[in-house]
Amino acid sequence: MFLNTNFGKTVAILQRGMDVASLRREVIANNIANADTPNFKRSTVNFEAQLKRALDGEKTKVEPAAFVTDPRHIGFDQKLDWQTVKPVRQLDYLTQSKNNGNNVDLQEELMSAEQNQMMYSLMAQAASNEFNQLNIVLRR
Amino acid sequence: MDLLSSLSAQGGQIEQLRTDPRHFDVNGKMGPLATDGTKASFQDAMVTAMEGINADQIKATDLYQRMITDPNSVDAHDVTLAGAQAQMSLNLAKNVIERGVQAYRDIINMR
Amino acid sequence: MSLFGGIATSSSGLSAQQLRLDVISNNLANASTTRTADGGPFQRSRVVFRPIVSQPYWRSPFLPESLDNGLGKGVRVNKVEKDNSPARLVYDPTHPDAIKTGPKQGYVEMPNVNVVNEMVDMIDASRAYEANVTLINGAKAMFSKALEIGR
Repeated sequence: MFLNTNFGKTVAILQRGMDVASLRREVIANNIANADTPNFKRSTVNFEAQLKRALDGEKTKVEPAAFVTDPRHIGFDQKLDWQTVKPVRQLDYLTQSKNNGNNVDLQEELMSAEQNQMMYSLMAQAASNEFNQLNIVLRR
Repeated sequence: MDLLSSLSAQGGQIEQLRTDPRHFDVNGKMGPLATDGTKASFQDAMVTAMEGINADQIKATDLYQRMITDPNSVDAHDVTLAGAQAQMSLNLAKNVIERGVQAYRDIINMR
Repeated sequence: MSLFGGIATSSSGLSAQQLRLDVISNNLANASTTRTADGGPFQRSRVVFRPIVSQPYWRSPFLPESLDNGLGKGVRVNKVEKDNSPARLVYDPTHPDAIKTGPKQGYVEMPNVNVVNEMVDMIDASRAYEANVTLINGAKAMFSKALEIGR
């Protein structure tokens, strides 16, 4: 709610970030569990680059704008709505694999799990900060 | 133009005549002129406080956004400090305004 | 400064030391292999590390050498190369891989693996690994403390 205010937008972005963090946790757990399976390729989750593109696209403006009168007309700037950006799970078959066809690097997966955990804590604290600010004003 | 009297010289130093904020002062910096004390009204104080709070909030939410889209451009303590500062400035301003309004009511209701 | 920069750097150190340990264990396992698929005795391998720098290696010749590259980003393994030191010769005419003819008749070429050196390298690699793990724990502790600001 309140998606056109600073508060609402921030909370929505944080919520999406936490969704992505929990999805990433599952993907990393799957990668680690299959660290010895022959011919297993690891997966990653891509979200941040798309979100950054969508959010940066809101700030820029293309001059001159196209004369669009019909919904089927294509404008000059194809803006990506940040609310439609979804996390995508991608199979990573490009990194070098070991002799049994498995390309999971256990160190890297453990580090990604740590980073993911840290990001989740930070995002949860940011969200609780936002709601506490509302409480300051509303509570009599 | 008022001439400088010899009394305004102190040792080897003399006051500079600054008429514009862009004139350099003694320390070689530009800055606001020494005002003669404008009367501060409650409205001015409130507006300044609101702008300060808004700036803090925007800085905090901007850091949250950058933390998600580009984690390697922010520091962890920057993010949490900005959030804590925004919360504290809001709390402070709310309490100050509350006290101000209460003081106004006390004065009005004084018989 | 970044959120995960320190952790990424230490993690690259962990990966590099792990690879070095794998190479050392391969050397030790093959310390007595007198004949490989290429012919000749087993030759020990070693890893070559390079730092990950933000700027390319090529420096302008007009810059002094003491100008460093700034904050690095960790370590990476450049290559795993074979050590071309000469093999050890052990006299054993009854060995099936003994040299049959020539001035070195009766000698067996053993791999150039010195077990003591490999053990010392292994201790070094595991100590470096522990040091990197300590750094990562420290970075995580700092992060938790940062989370406590304003709680």
